[in-house]
Amino acid sequence: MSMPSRFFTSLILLSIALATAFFTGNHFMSLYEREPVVKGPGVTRVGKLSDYFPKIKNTVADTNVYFLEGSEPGATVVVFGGIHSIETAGMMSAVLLVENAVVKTGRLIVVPHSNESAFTHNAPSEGYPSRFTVKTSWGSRRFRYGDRLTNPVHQWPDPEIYVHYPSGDLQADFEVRNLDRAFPGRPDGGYTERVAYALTELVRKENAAMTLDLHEARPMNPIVNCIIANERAAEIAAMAVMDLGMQGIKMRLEPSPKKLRGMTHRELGDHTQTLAMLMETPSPAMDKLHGRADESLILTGKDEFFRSADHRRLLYAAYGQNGYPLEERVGRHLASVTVLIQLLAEVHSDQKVEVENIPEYKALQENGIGSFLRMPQKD
Amino acid sequence: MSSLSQTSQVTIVFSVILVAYVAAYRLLKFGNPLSMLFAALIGGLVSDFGLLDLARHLVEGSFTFLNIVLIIYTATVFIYVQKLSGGLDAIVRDLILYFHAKPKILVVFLMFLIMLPPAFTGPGADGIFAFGAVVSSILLAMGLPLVKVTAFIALGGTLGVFAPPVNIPAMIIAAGINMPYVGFVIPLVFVTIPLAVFCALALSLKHISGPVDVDAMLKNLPPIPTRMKGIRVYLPLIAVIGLMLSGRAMPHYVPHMGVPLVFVIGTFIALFLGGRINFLKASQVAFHDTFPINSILMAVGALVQIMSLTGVRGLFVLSAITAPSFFLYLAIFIGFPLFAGIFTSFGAASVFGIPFMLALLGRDPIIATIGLSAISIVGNLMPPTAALGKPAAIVAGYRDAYLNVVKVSAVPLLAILVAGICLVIFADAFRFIRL
Ligand SMILES: [Zn+2]
Repeated sequence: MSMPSRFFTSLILLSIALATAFFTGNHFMSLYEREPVVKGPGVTRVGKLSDYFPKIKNTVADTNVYFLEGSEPGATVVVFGGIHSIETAGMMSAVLLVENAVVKTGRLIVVPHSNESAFTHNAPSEGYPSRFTVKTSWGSRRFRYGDRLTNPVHQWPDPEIYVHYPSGDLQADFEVRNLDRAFPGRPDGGYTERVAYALTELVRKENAAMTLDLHEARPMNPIVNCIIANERAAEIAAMAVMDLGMQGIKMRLEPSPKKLRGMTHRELGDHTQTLAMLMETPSPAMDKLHGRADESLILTGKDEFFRSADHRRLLYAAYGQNGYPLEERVGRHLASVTVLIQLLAEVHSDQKVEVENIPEYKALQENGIGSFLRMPQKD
Repeated sequence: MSSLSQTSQVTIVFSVILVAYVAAYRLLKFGNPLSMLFAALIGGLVSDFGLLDLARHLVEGSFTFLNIVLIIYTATVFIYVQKLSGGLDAIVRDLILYFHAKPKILVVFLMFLIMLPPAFTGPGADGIFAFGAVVSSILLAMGLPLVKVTAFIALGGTLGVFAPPVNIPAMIIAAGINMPYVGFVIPLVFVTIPLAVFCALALSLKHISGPVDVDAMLKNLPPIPTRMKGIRVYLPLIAVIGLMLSGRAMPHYVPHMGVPLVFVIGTFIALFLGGRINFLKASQVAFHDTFPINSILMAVGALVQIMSLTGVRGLFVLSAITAPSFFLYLAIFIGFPLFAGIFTSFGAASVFGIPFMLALLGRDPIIATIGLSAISIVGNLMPPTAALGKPAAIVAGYRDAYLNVVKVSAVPLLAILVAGICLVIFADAFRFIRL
């Protein structure tokens, strides 16, 4: 190549690189814009996670804590969504609770975006959509998809080996950014441990009788469509599984493994007064078996590859007629939450919580998630 | 395209990606990294994704191996500074003086030397850049032809990728099936050591019949600053290996700093031991020399992202978990190393290794994963990418047709392949090596 043509080739390539950096950089920064969660009729006040651990104030870790308080005194139930942001049904169920539930007795405290950092990026090499759109009768709402782990921009580099605090248990390097391996957390730890510490403080200071952590798992993973319960919550979880079964919603009971450390169902149950449980519904986008990774995979959960795998009995959550629609997954979570709250008062008569207007399993499937999402008001 | 079944649609997309890659590489002469980006872009466009959306995916995917890219660059600066300080030549001198009477032990030792850094850090290029220059000058002096020296260094690098404690292909596969990377070290030791000894001797036995002519070899060395003797020579290496080892051995006490920073610390120490060093120059040359391999790693990440996005990876998973076992083994034995020759062992472990392992569930998962990782590392010597073969050629100064390097490594590579497929097929029978 001659000198001038070389110069122009370089110039063109450099311009393409700069334009790409500009457009994609803008996109990556846009993921810091938080989607609105509308205060439903049951919300009595909105707190901040930093109220429980001031050190995270004015950092990306701080997030809204929604209080739904009844007129009658009673016990407190805490619900976490977005401990793993890509487990969409967990976050969405928490949002629907905030926007719809009304508490008569006791309190419901909901954190829809528990790991805010995880919502600010997508995992490289996975090809996930950054956002997805839920249609409603008045328009639509956009939500970020995020990643399972804390954004490395907020916690880097990963250590050679992750040492869980305080057990000293050793885990794979990247688990250091997994919020559900960081509980009970520590105030002077890394970003993820600080978030876990703040959430643990919330459970402790609000004296939560029960804490429900909403997740999703790969359909090819045996731990799916289940309630994972700490020993102290085993009884109430077993009763919930039976009640749900009678409604036609099959959930299994999984005991919280003693050896796996850092998860909410293990550490919150061991380190605080709360009855700790974690629910898993199936999300095909999380499985490497999925076909085209787009918004419709997240929303409809329809994917022919899963039908083929189901025919060969390779799945732990049946593909069924309609795939894994988000409505079904959210309905499953909210039905479990409803049943567990009812059972809490039955098992412990002094710990009454009464909640109304939680979107029902059937109504969600018939009317869609959009019919339970409220229109954000511009302020 | 929407009237076709999902399988047919995705198969078409995969074919288009392959054709676009070959066309860009052969007809447009884009070079390997740009051809991969081009193929990824075309694959995304025929799948009906928008240009801006695809730009995001390509950039995001190129960050997949960011840590490895940083390690390769900082490790290379570390080595170049030691070359300039005379430290590397001093190590060569010491090795010749200690081992010249026992050439067989010397070649095995040299093989382990190259394997040492990647055994701890993961990517093999750091071993090749750390010790490749030392090892190649000794092997050449012992009478090995340059093509075999190149193969020797490349094999050392790739066996280092496989060697414990850090076997990244195995880690990628394990993470893909939700299996913790625990209990791998001991079986990996049992597989790595015989393979390394075999590879070292298979390449060199013909050429190391008698003892080494010490004086002739020492004469070939460039002048070494008189200060560079004793423990001083080894301080940078001791610092680097020590920091890496202590981070793993005592994770409760040693703060984690990341492997790139460890190499920067080693470089800093090396700067003050020998003669005056033009650090800026060394870091520029290192950037220039590592640019090809690092740009390939970034392009592979982008291509893997597009394959996940378009469902091609899902198609591989479905094919693997539904294939009859004879075809599955055939694909693992032949297809896997060839694809690893395009995607590197890391990319192939992610795109193909995880599907294979999902299909192999039901047998001992640790042994089967180790077998798959062994097969994937063969790809590091396979063209067109030859992620470790080509750096080895840079370090050894080999400039003839790269395919000759593959030819002289055929026997060692076949040994690794056979060991790998045996571990995969008879995983349960080999469970005893887990102790
Ligand atoms: Zn989860």
